[in-house]
Amino acid sequence: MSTPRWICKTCGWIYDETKGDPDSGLAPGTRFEDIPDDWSCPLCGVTKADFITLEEYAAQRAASSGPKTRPPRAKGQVGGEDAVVIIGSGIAGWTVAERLRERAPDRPITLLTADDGCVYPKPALSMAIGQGRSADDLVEYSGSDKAAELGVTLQANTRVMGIKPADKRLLTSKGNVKYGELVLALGASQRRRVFEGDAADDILRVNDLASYRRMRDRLNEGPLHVTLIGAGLIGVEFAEDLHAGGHYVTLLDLGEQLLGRLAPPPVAARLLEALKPHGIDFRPGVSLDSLEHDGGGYRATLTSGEALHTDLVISAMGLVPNIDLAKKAGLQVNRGIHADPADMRTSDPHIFAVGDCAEVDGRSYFYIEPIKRQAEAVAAALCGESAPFERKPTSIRVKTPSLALNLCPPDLSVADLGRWVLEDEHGAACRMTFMAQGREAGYALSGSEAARASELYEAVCRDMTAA
Amino acid sequence: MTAMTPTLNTEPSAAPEGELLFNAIRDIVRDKLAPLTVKIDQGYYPAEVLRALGEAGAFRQHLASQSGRGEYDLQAALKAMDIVSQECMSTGFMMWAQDVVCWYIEMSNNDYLKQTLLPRLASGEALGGTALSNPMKYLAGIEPLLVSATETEDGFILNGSLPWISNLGPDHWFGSIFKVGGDNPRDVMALVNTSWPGMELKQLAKFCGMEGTGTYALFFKDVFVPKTHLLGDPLVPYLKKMKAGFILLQTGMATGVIESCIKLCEDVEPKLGHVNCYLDDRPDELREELEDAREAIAGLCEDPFNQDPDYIRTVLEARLLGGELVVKAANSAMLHTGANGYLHDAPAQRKLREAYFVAIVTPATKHLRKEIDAMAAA
Repeated sequence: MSTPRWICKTCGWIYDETKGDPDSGLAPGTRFEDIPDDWSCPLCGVTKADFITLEEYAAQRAASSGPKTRPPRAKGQVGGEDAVVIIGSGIAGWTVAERLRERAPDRPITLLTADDGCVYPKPALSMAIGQGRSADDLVEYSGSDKAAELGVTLQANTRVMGIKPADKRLLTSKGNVKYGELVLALGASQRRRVFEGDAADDILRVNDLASYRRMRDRLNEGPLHVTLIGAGLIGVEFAEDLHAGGHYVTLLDLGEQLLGRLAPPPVAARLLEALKPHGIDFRPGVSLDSLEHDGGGYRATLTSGEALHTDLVISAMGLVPNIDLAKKAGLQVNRGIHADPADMRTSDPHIFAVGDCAEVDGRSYFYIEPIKRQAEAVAAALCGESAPFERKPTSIRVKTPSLALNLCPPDLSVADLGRWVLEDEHGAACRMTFMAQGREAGYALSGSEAARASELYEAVCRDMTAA
Repeated sequence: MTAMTPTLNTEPSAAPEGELLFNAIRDIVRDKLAPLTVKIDQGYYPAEVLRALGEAGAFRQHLASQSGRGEYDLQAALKAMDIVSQECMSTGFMMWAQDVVCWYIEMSNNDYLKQTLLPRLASGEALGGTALSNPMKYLAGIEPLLVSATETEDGFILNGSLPWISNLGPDHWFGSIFKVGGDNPRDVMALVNTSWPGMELKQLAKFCGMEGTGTYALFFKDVFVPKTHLLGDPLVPYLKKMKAGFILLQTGMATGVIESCIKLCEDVEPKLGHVNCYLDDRPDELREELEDAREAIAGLCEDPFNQDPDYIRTVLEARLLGGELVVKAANSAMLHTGANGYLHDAPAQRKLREAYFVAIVTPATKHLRKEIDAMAAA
C-alpha cells in the first residue's frame, strides 16, 4: 500500500514505481524522480510535469467542497447575445471553457449540460475496476466547482432540444437561451441496435459517468457473468477490467477477431492468447439475437442459435457521433458534424463543433489528445486568433494489462492502398507496420515491442507530412 | 400536422376541421364557458360546456377512426385545448382527460369498444377520465400499483383505491391498470364505468383551485370488469404505442395558459410599461419562447407512434418545457399586473394556480426529470 504512485491529472493513468512502464522502456522499480523528462503519459501523451502523487490528488479532491450528487441550480445569467455558449460537459466542452478562459478572462461563457456537469477522466471508465476506484472516486470536480473556478455560468440538468441558427438561440427544456457564438461538444453514443426479447431494454450502453455508475451498481451484486456485445477497443478493455473485478466474461463479435480493423490478425491473435488464461470466452462471428428474463438473470440467444445464461449484458458496438441537433438545425453533417480544421467551425459561421461529435475531413477523433487540440483551435478562433487543428495519425495505447498493445491504424485514405508487414515476432511480442505507397502509414505493436511506439509514431507522422 | 391511419374501420361523417372548428370553439368559450370560469375554479362541473365542445368536434380530431379524415390530428386537438385553456384551464384539463380516454380505445385492439363506446365519448355524449396517474408513477418506479385483480373466465374482479381522478361523475368512464394475481400474474388495463356495482366516488380533498374538474377518490370493492372492456393485455406494448400521444396531448393546457398570461402582460403595457420594463420575462420574450415551444410540439405531433428512445425523450422534454414555461409565464403575469392580479377573482392569480397544476399533475416536473435522467443513463 505504501508503494509510491503518481496519477496523470489529464487522463487518470497511474504510474506505479514497482511496475514501472515497460512499454515505454521504464523497468519495474524505476523511481518517479528518475524518469527522463521526455517520457510521456502512455495513455494521453502529456509529460511528467502533469503527474501528481495519489495523496496530492486525494487532497485536492477533498478540498473541493461541492456535492458529489446533483449541483444546485447555477446562478448568473444563462447565455446572452454576447456569450459563448457551450453545449456538453465532457472533456471537449470543459476543455473549450478552460482554453477560452485562458485567452479571454472576461468573456461571458455559459455551459449547458444534460447531466450534472461533473468533471471526470473518461478513459478511466474502462480501467477503474482494476484500479479499485468506484464511479464516485472518478469525479475530480463537481460541475459547480469547476464552473466557479473558470467563471462560467453552468446550467446543469438541462437538455437542448433545438438550435435556431438564424436567430442565434437555443430551445432547452427550461426555456430559450440566446448565444453569440455556439460550441457543440455533444459527444457520441454507443451504437444502438434493436434486439428481440422481453429484456432487450435492460442491455446497458456505457459511455458516460451516469451509465457507468449504473453498470457498477449492477456489478456490485457480486461476481456476475457479463456478456459484452462487440470486441472492439471498448469491448476488450471492459472484458479485461471486468475480469479484474472477479466477473466472468463472454465477448461476442460479428467479426472473426478481436479489435476489428484496429489491429492486424497476428496482433489480435496474441491478445486473444493473453486473454484466454483469464477465462474470457470470445465468440467470433456471433452477436446477440434476443434477451429474455430468466430467473434473476437473462437467457441470451445468440445469432448462432446457441443460448447462454448471463447476469448482465453490455453493448459496446462502437461510437456514433451525436449529430441530431446539428442535423435538425440544418448544419452540414455526415457521420459527424462537419468542421473545418482551420478553426473547427461548422457550416454556420457562429457555430463550432469539437470532440466526438465533430468530423474533420471525413474523420472523427474519439481520443483525448486530438480533442484537446480541437478545443484549442476553437478557443483561438473565438478570440479572433488562429490555431488550426492538425490532423495527425491516431496513436492508441490499449488498456489491456494482459498484453501491452500500441496501435496506430492507417488513415482511412490509405487503408485500402497498402498492407500489413510483419517486421518482427517472438512469443507475445510482435511488430507490424502498415506500408502504403512505399511509406509507413501505421503500426501495431504487442508485448515488449509496444515500447517502440513513440519512435514509430514519429516515423509515421514524418512520412505522413512527407506525403 | 397529421399521421395517416393504417386502417379505417368505419366511415363517420367528417368532423369540422381547421378554422371552422376553432371558430366554433371560440364561440363556445365566449358564450358558454367565459361566464362560468370563476365558478368552475371554485367547484362547478361544466358538463354542458364539455358536451358542446364534443358536439363541435373537439374530441375527435386526434382519432383516425372518428375524425372522418383517417388522420391522427393531434395538433388540432391541442389547438382546441389551447383555445379553451386560455379562458379556463380546468376545462382544458378535462378536455385532455376526454381526449385521452378516447385515445385509450383508439389505440387498443378492442373493436367492440371502438364501435359502441368510442363514438359516444368522441362526441362528448359520454364523459370520462384518464386515471393513469398512479400507474404512470408505478411504471416510473415512483409508487406501487394501487388496484389489484383476480382473473375469472370472462373478466376481472378489482379491489383497491385511487386518489384524485378527474373528469368523473356518475356513469363516467376511465382507464384502469391493475395487478392481476393467480396463475398468470401480470398488469392489465381495461375501461371501467364509475356506476358499476362496487365502485364508489368520494370527494375527499379540497384544492386551492380547479375545483370544478370532477375530481374524486375512487374505491373498488369487488368490481367486476368484463373482458369485453380490455384495453391492454399484454400491457407494455400497448402503453408504448399510446405513450407519446398521451403526453403530447397534455401540452395544449400549458400553451393556452402561457398565451393568456402573455396577453395579461400585454394588456397592462400601455399603463405600466414604463415600470414593467424593469421586470424579467417580458411578454415579447415569453412570446418567442411560446412560439418555439409550439413549433417543437407541432413537429413531435407529426410522428406520434415513433418508439425510438430519442423521440420519446424529446416528447418528455417538450412536456417538461411546458411545465417550466407555464410557471414562468404565470409568475410574470402576476408581477406585470401587480395588485390588480392579486384581487380575489383576478385572472392572473387563477392562472398562477393553474400553472402550478401543469407542473404538478402527472407526469409532474420532478417525475419527468427523473424519467429523462433514467433514459440518459440507459
